Amino acid sequence: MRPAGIILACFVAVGGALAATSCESPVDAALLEEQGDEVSGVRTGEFHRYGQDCMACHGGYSSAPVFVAAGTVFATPDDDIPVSGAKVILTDALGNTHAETTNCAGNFFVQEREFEPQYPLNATIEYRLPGESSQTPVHRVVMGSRINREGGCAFCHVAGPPSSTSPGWVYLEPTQPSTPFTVPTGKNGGQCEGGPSHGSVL
Amino acid sequence: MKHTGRFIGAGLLGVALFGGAATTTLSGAGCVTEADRAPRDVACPSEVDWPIVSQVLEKSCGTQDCHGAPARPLRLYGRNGVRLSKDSIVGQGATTADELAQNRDSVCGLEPELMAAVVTGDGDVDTLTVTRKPRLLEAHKGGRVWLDASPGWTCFQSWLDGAVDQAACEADLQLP
Repeated sequence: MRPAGIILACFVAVGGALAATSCESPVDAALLEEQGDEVSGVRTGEFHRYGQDCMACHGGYSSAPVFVAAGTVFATPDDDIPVSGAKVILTDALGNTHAETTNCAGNFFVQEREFEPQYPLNATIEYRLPGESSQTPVHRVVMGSRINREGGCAFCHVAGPPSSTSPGWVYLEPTQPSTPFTVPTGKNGGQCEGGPSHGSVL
Repeated sequence: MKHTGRFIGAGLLGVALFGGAATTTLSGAGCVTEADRAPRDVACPSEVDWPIVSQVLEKSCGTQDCHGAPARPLRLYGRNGVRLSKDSIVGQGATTADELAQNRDSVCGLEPELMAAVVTGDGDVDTLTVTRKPRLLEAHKGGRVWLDASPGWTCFQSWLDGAVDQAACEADLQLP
């Protein structure tokens, strides 16, 4: 082989090796793997994978749209009932705020182009109990600690009841109110495109 | 043939001696006694004044997405981080005495020799990673936690200097 050919072969070999090794993050790859497959019948989109760690895919590691914050809001710590219409308000260190309302799968998400927060963040959720009218003052739950760097609720709020390692998933009320929360419906009272009606992903 | 045998014999002897020496060295280095496993005393500023300083660190650094997680080298237990006891629940109940003690050990055990120098007045607080990172004097994934005028930094620095500024600590705890 001519010298030029040898040099070219070396470049190809080294380049190939770098390409094969440089983009792999075993931690992120394992997190992606943990999320499992999509639930049958639920399209990839705003209603999918409720309760899961959104940032596993939407944190910039995969090709999915990048979020700065995302999660699912549940009614109580013990009931697999997402809440629709809860207003999640994020306030950053500079006092800038951004609000998103949860959909029928209980999901909310904030895209990079919508809000570029300066950490740490404070999170507040405003909501109404089932049966309350729009004239009723909202209930408000404020997160007990700062969010210092992870925008995905499920990074800390692992599905299940509170424990020594996690506060449990994000919930509004400690127990069901007298008029209980129920699994939300979708548009026009039809079935929501995601959420537990399609089978729990938790 | 006779020479070949001598060479082989000498080679085997060499291998045996080398192997024996290596084994002795490794076994000497590999033995850990109970005394080695015991906790060591690490020089550390005031234990009496630590609880309020720990609260300041728990709030700014000890959330579950930062140092309030088991995998962190500077691990901080507490109400809003991981709990030391399986019987304690995140977000419920105050930080326990055992958690406070563990947090103090974490801070002082991170760089024990440097901390000892700070405690005796022979070292500067800026030599400590635990003071450089939150002020971004060194790269920090969690960004800048304190400016030099922040009450949280005044609180922590005063503890390191040996006289806690209670007012600064309380002022930091009042911040959102």
